[in-house]
Order: sequence, then structure tokens, then C-alpha cells
Amino acid sequence: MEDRLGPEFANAMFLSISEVKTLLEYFKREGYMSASNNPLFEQIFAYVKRYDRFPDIQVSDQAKNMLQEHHFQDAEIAMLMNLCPHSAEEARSLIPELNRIESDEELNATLEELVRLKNL
Amino acid sequence: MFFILSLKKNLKLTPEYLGKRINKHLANLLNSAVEGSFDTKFGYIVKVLKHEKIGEGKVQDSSGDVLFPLLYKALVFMPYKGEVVDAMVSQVMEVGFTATLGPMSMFVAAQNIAADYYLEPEARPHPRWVNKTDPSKTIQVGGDVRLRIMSVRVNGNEMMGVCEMSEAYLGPITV
Repeated sequence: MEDRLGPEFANAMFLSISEVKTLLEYFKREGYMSASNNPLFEQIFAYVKRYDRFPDIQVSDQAKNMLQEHHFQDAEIAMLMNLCPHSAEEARSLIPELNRIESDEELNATLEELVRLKNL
Repeated sequence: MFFILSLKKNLKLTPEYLGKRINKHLANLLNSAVEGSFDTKFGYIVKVLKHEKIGEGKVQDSSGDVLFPLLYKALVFMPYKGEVVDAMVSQVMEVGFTATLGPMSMFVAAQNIAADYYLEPEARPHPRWVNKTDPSKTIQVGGDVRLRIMSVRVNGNEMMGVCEMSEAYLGPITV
């Protein structure tokens, strides 16, 4: 996917919706919004609040750690956490990068754990 | 997708700010110059996260203004072709529907909606698209949909996404 983005993204860090939500909540608490005129911040904040799949940051950290332990790449981790697919077939269809993983069983086991965390 | 990117910005200071509080002033100037802005290469700059380095200022000929290069890290939102995203349906029409993703508007043309959806133009309060085999699956204003971005168009200070909803696993979702 880096080839679809410019060279500026070569060293970029990927953030899941859940992580962005935590970050923006932090700035809200620190009173950032009262000092700024940034409607984009509010639009993005509303978006990430609506589409964060995890009940809280502890659980989303747990999900990220689990995916890192299974050696998923950063881009894949962010996409898996954003979309929370239920099956290997769904995951491969939504995130074609995952076709590099040969075993459906292995992928399914990871996704099952992801969905379990999401539903905590 | 959201990213943390390392970016660079040149800022021009007029001579009256060349004092003790120059760093603070440059930091404030950077935040107000880039936060909330849009760049075709980087996408939407949501928030500056860290000021990394203020480079050496260069005095400009003729004006006495000083140009400083600033390095910083920022949270950016940059959608890309092929990405699957969730969005909220904002308008349903005969030619398709539109959905909102933060600052962006997404358009799905009728021919890019899966063939098993049909339009109910008389539905109230708004027209909606309904799945033939599972009528509980509807595309209606305020509902959530999963889409794939086919292309991103830049229109002045905005980005518009052209999306499709015809493959498996795309369509209405519950959040």
C-alpha cells in the first residue's frame, strides 16, 4: 500500500481508529479545543468515537499486542483493528495484504481472539 | 487510514518576534498554520503532536523577515485507493448514495452498489436502498456502511472519495 501513498509515508506510523480516539480524548482533556479553531479535529473525533470497535483502551492495547505477537505488520494491525473481520475469507477480501498468510486456520484463530476482545 | 507523519514547514517571522519568546511563537504559528489544513500529498493534518526541530533561520533579502524551517510530527488522516472504510450514509438518491467519513464525502454510484439492492424511492422520511434477499439490510440516511475507495478526488480544500459497495463483505454494518 505504500506505493499508493507518497514517499512521505515511507516512515509513517499507522494508527488504528481506537488509538486515534485515545489520542484525541487526551487533547480534549488537556483543554486543547478551547484554545483552537479546528473544525477538522471535531469531525475526526466524532468519526473515531462512532467507529472505535473496542470497549476501552486497555482492551484495544491487548488486541494490538496480540496481533504484534502473531507478527502482523503495522498496516495490517491497524486495518484489522478498524474492520474486525470475523473470518479468514472476510479478512482476505477486505485486506488483500493478508493473502500472504497461507493458513486459514491460523488467521481464523487470530480473528476469533480479536472478535472476543472487541465484544468484552 | 490515520498516520503519524514527520513533516516540515517553513515559517516566516517578521522582525518584531525575534526575541526571547521566539520558540513559543514559532510553535504557536506552526499549530495555527497547519492544524485543520489539507494537503494533497499528506491528507488532512488533524493535530500537531510534537515539535521536533527548529532549523536555522535565514534572513530574507529586502524585507528583514526571517524564514525558519520547522520539523514536526503530526496526526494525519489520509484515505487511499483500495482502502476499505466505514462511513455514515448522508443522502440516498436514484443515482446512488453519499456517505460521510469525518471531513470527507464519499459517493457510491448506483452501478457500484451490489446488484441485489434496489431503490425504494417512496420510503419515508428518505428514499433507501434495500437488499432483495435480506430486507433487513438497508442503505438509509444515518445508517453505517462499509465501502471500498476506488479513487480520491481533490476539490479545492476538500477530498471526495468515489467508492464501491459491490463486493462481498461490503454494505450495511451495525456499529
